Amino acid sequence: MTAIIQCKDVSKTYNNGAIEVSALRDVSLTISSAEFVSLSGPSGCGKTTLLNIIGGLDRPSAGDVLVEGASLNTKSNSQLADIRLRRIGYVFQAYNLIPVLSALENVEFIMQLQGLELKQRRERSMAILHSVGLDGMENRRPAELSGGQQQRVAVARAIVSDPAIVLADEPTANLDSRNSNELLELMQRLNNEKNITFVVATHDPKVLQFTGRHIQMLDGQIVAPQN
Amino acid sequence: MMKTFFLIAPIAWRNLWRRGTRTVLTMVTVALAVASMMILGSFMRSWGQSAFDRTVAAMNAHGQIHARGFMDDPTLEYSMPPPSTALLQALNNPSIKAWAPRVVASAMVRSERESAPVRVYGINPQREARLSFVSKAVAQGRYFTEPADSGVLLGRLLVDRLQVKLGHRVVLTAQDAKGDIAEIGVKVIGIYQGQPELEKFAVYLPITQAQTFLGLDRRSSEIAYLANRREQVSSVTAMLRAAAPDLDVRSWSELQPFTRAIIEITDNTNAIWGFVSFALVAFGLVNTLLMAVYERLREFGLLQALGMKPAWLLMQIMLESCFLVIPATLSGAVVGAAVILSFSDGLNLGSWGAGARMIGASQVLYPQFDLRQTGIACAVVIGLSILASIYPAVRAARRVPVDVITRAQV
Amino acid sequence: MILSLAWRNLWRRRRRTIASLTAIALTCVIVIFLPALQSGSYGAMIRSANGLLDGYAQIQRRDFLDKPAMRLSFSVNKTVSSAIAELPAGVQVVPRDISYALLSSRKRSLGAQVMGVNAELENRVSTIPGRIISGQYLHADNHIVLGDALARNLQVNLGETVDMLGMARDGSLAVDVLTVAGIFRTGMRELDRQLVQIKLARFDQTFAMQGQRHALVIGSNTDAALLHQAVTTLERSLSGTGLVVHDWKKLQAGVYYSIQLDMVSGIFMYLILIVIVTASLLNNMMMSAMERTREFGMMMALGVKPGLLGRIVWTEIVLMSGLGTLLGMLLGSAITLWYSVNGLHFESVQAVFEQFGMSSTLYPELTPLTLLAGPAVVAGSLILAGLAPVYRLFHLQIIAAMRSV
Repeated sequence: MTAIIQCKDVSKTYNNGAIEVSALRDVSLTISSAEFVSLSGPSGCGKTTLLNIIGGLDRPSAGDVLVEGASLNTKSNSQLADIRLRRIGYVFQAYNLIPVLSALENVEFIMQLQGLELKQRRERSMAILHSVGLDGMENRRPAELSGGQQQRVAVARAIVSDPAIVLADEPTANLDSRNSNELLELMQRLNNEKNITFVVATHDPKVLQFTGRHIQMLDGQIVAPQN
Repeated sequence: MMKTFFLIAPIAWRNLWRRGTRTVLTMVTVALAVASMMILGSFMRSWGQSAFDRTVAAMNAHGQIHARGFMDDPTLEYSMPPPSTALLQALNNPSIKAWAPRVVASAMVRSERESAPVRVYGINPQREARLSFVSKAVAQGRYFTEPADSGVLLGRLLVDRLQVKLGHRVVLTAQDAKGDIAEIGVKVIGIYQGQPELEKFAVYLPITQAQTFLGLDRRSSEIAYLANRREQVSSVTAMLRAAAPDLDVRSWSELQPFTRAIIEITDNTNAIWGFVSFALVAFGLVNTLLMAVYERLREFGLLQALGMKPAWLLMQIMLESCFLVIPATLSGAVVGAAVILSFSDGLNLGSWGAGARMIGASQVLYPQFDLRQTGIACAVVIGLSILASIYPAVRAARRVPVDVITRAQV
Repeated sequence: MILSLAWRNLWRRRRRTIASLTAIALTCVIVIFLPALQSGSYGAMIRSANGLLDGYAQIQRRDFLDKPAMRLSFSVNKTVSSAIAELPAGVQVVPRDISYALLSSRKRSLGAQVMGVNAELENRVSTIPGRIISGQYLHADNHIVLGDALARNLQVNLGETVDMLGMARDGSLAVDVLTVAGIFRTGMRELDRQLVQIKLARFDQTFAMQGQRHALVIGSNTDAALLHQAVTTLERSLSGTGLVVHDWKKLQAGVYYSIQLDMVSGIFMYLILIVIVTASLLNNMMMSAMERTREFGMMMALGVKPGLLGRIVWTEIVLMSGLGTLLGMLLGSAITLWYSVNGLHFESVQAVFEQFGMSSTLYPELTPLTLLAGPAVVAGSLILAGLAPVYRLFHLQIIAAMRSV
């Protein structure tokens, strides 16, 4: 099992005007391929911050993150963007999709950015949408899809270019229990069948039933399991 | 009510500055529109006013009285006797600032070397001094002292053309009241300048000399009058008409359609520009306010949930509009006033002066700062802006659906 | 891809986009129609002013224009004739003499400007021969034509005689008796009330001109470029002779400068208009970008670089400006073309137009300049202003963006 993500003593402090907030304190963590990891904890525990730093959306105040062995600290913003484009998939809680593009186009969008040809893009997008169970919905715009369907398109897009890892920040927070279950089952299936690595930040205890590894956080530190 | 106002007003003000750039941009457009309306308006008005003033000073006055038939055939055949008692009483009414009888005739002037066609004005010097420009325009020599004076006043341009000097004699030839050709030799006692068009052809004689020369006894060709204020001209004209039903009384707007047209053009241009520029500003304003409302829908819902009355929300939006428009309008007015006042020495039209005269303006335009007009323009802008803000304000005060309020945040 | 994304983004807020397009289009209509109207009326003013009497240019003695004295005449000697012969074919040159005299009919005497003309050639440079409303133009030697107001004031009819009393070139009296052959009307008060024309030969005789002329008039009814060239050539050939060539800008200085004045004040107003519209639309553009901050943050999280984002937003702005301008040009040219055929009537300000010898109906002139100049500036300033919201994107922080409402 190769290590996809390695966090070494990552700390993050915010300066909120006059106040200093410590969001993360010396967090060290390794995530290997094909893992299905959950990051859980109460609001303000730092899970979203950690996820952002792993994905290169934010830079740590101290420490480093290695993605597939490469240190993020040494990368410029432009290089980080490339890494996000090609190696990391994202699913957010809401506002995942570009409103003016159809489901198919949203999925294709990433590949367009990567420079793939039309035929290739089309084939893969259709296949991915099929595998997330959205046959027949390809031409609908986000406004015409239900919350659960939108999240599935987001997952499809996140995995379509074979990223090293998919990061999901509270993906089920806006869904009802049935849709939540369906989404999590989907992710589990993808993790089993295609060995896609998932890291899910959540405070929904239901998620824990689906994930293989649970990491709990509190006040910017990992409290369980002890490493 | 007042308590609510003082509660909401500071909120409204601060809300404006949440999107500083946007507020500033909107204020700039309003200020620009107001300033441009003022500046253009004042230049246009001064153009119209100068066209009017020039017309009045250039022998036209506010109105003229002639014998019937004179307008079609402006010869000595249609001369008038001295004014009747009724007319005299009307002419001496306090609403008339000045009046003067004149003799007007076409003639030829001849010097040693050249000749030229002219119009002879026989004037009563003291009366004419309050009516037209001549008494103040004599650059060389002197003006007349009394109706029985003798001598002729020529314009500078005519003097150059005839190649004469002060003190020289010239010969005037004209057809007199009986139809015979009359001639008179006169000494050039004064040279006037400042009205290039008149200088070329208007010559002045003291009225008694003119009447003798042309065989008119005590008759005159016209009586020119000046009302105290431009606005009184039509009522004064009506009064004179009533006092002299057998004579032809006309105001400047009938006699000088050109000047009237200029004033119409300038007024219309002002109105159109004001309309167009304000329409565009209103467009921008409504847009800005609508945006400001839409992006805060959730906030309004929250406020309503907390117990704020819809009517107050309405007031808040309209206050925001006021706080946006009023300072912008006032600064635009200040900028406009500053620009206008900076031209208090007049805008010299330089080499465009020739063209300017052709369209009625003078060489130097003095834009006027009219406080009343400015006040009215500002009030209109502010009033219309407040009106324009009603639609966005109503949208803000509507009931906001609950799911918008409670939409979760990341 | 960018194009398709940009285009669809435009239509997300249908009402706002339509309102913006309308504002742009209307502004373009204004900056097409009004300059076209100005241009058309200038053309009409110049044509009628030149074609009536003064021509495109005149050759005169140096001081004659300001002080038209009798003795400021010149002879058409070899230098002058060869200079004229050099002019390109199609350029018309006719001689004239000018003076003043007292005209007397049976009942009246009035002063008038007397112009000696070559009756056969005069219609090449002036429209007066064509404006005879009764009788005919100059035929016999002792004929005279008068303006209609003058004829009316003199109370003289066709076939009657008028006595002319003036001053000859040598200072002696010039006396003659002429028969009224025709009466003309130009519509310009000064001409109709003061101008008479007689045959050049007769003038020469009566006013003792001894073959000298006061002016050579160059007609305006050929190509403007040709005329301009002709004037330049003439100035060169006549330098040092004491003769000058005045073109219409000097002859009709009033017309020339009032055109300049009008152009400048027009440009001033158009610029302010464009600034106001641009500022208003800039507001729109910035708001539009700001509303989508969250979406932009999401796209950047996916790996879209700020440069690409900027290009997308920029394309939207260019599309909107372009579409609005196009609509404006279509509408503007349609309106302008319609009025260029049917004319715009201005009844109440007839008096001003008379001054320039024009009718009170104006015809806007749609030229490439009037069609493109205004809209180009509008589009250009909008696209330039569009740089502002694009610039903002480059400083967008991803996380802050995604958290914004």
